[in-house]
Amino acid sequence: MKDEPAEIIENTPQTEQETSGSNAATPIAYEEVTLTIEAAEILERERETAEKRPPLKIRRVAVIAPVR
Amino acid sequence: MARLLTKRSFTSEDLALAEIQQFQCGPERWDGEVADWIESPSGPKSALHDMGAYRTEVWLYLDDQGELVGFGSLGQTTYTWPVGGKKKEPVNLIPFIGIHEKFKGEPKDAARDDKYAYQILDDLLACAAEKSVVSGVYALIVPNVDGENGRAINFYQNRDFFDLEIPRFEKTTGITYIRMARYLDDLVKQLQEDSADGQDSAGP
Repeated sequence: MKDEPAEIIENTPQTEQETSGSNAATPIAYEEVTLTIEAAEILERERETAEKRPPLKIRRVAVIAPVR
Repeated sequence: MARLLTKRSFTSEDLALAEIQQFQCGPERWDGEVADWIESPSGPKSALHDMGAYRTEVWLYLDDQGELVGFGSLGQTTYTWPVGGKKKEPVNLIPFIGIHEKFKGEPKDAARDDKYAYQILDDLLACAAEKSVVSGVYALIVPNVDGENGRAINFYQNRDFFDLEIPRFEKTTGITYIRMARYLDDLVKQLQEDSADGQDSAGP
């Protein structure tokens, strides 16, 4: 896990640096993200893993009406 | 038998509730960030702001006694693939999940998958998968996690999230957020099969 800011900035595309700067007031990353080539490769690799994985069996939480 | 949560949408009226204003996740900095987000009436670090500005959905999760256990949120962002692909897709985003400190690790006697935190995450995964089916959002979900919050990282990894290795560093706070991701294809497929079988798994 990377934890050195200088290294992160170097590894981050320019658009990402600008995003981080302009988004300094919010901790939430709603902005568009340009993937690095490495990240795209991770996504490709993980898709193959996901396809082989047994599906996650999950339950939906029931919705209730607000009590006022 | 599992103690199942219920949920309802979070609204501006909920801000006045004592259980919102006194919502506590714990002593760590990320705990404070999560609690501040749900408690704040406005500003960029506010759930209500995000609901208005980004159409983020926020739900409150309640136990069988009607007590607030935590909240979950689901929004959207855009990912662009690098040169060569240049694909651009809307993807699902988890801005925040918050579990009240009183309910962390609860119910104690429940299996991991039945813990409240997993019930909330699973519900968000299902909601995101539904969005992918209904509105064509790319079947990927991406939380941003404080890089020092090992508990949260493990939590997501237990549900097959992986590190995209494109951390986001905030200059003003010095905090590095890890971008994690999980494909939703298994849940999308499940939804489509259930739909084909006439067994809508979306519940009530």
